[in-house]
Amino acid sequence: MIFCKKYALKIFFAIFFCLFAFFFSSTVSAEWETGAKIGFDSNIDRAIDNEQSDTYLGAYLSFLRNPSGESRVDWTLAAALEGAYFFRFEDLSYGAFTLAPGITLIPHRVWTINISPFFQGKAVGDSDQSALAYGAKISMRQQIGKDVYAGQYYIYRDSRAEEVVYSFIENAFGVYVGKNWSRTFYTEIGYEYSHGDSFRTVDSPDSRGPMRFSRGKQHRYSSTFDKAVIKEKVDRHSIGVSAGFDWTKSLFSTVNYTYTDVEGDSGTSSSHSGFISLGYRF
Amino acid sequence: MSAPRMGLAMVRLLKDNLNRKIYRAVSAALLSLSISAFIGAVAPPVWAQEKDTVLPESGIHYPGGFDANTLGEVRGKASDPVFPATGPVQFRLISERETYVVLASPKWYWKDLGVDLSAGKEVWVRGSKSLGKDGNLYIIAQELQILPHGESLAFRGEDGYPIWKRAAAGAGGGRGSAGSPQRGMGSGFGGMGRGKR
Repeated sequence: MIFCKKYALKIFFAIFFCLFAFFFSSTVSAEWETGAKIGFDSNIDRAIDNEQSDTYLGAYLSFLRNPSGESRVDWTLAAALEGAYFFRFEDLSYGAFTLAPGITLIPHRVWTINISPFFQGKAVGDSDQSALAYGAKISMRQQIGKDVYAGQYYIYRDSRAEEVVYSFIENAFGVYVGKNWSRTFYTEIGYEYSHGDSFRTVDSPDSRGPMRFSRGKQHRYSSTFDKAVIKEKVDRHSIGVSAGFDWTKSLFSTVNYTYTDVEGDSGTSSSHSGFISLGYRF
Repeated sequence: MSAPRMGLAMVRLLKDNLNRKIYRAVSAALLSLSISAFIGAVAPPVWAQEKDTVLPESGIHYPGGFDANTLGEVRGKASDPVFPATGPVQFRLISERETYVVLASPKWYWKDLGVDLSAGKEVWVRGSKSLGKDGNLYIIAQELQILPHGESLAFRGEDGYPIWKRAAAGAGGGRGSAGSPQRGMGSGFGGMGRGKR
């Protein structure tokens, strides 16, 4: 386990480049995609009071093996290497590798189902937050008419961080509806509900009252946030809207805004986040 | 050096080391992206790059052999439908002037469309015309209508992209990958900006 943690990043890079070499030569319904995005989060520290905001610059390289569509059952693969640099809280900058093999079923031409386990390794500047995660996603999508589509998904995620206060298990359900307005422009709106553990920051453990920490909650001081961090069960509601535009067959942009509301024993917090991205598929 | 100062120096050293690690990771990611962008700049776009099957009798590339420059419409009588285990459903289309072989879609998609093509039915087909290496005329179907009052059935979009592939491609979830990376909202595994297709 210690070996795995120590060499996790190197192992992930090695796997990624092996995949790169293997899949670049076999391009059956496969896409490589790269891109950069700039985003913001109005409550980067998940604070209940006095939230801090930050802006980040991210980049990713991903490989997607989509179903060929030639049969009702096919396999999929998504592998992604990504990184982000946070301008204010530099220690939140991270590099991550995600691998998600899956199976797609097409019970009907307007209805698809995808089942996909996933594994993720994330190295964060604040090493307390570095984590290995695994889980599964089950998603369904329906085509409604020519241009409208809808989807639903469920995600189970178990993330184990260096420090237990940042570890979490969550169950998330989401729904979305999208419309292709033209061959090059779409919009999408989605809602996600999640129940599970989450870290949250408070100005000082004492300020929330000693009772807050006498129920077995983990807490510790974070030098990154310069605040106390607690872990508790939360209910999270997120509403997001996004729009995408294809500049060419290969070059595309996405813009997204998400409002998130988090409710837990310690209180309620909210955040506004979003990003603008420019991607290239080849 | 006093013990507290030494401790402070060690903490600073540790922090610098961690920062170096993350910067190295981000740098490696950005380097990968640069390499990819370079490869991407010289590689053909994905639509042209997807691997096709070459149909043995005709030598036509499937499903990518559609050419919008050879688009045509043919009306005639359908006969001899063939449902191969792999590759497109085919049938013969006898018009007043020529006989064509129509290449449609995979069997599952044809079945879902509920096409009833009993022999002798009159149909209208729009698609990309091509001469096969076996000397037969082929039409890669974009749209099919069973006459006189049948519903119009689409196999390919306006750009010739197979609709059955488009239906399968969106299975992974929404394309908008919402949320902040710090929050991990789940509509995308890695926060990818999945492109339109």
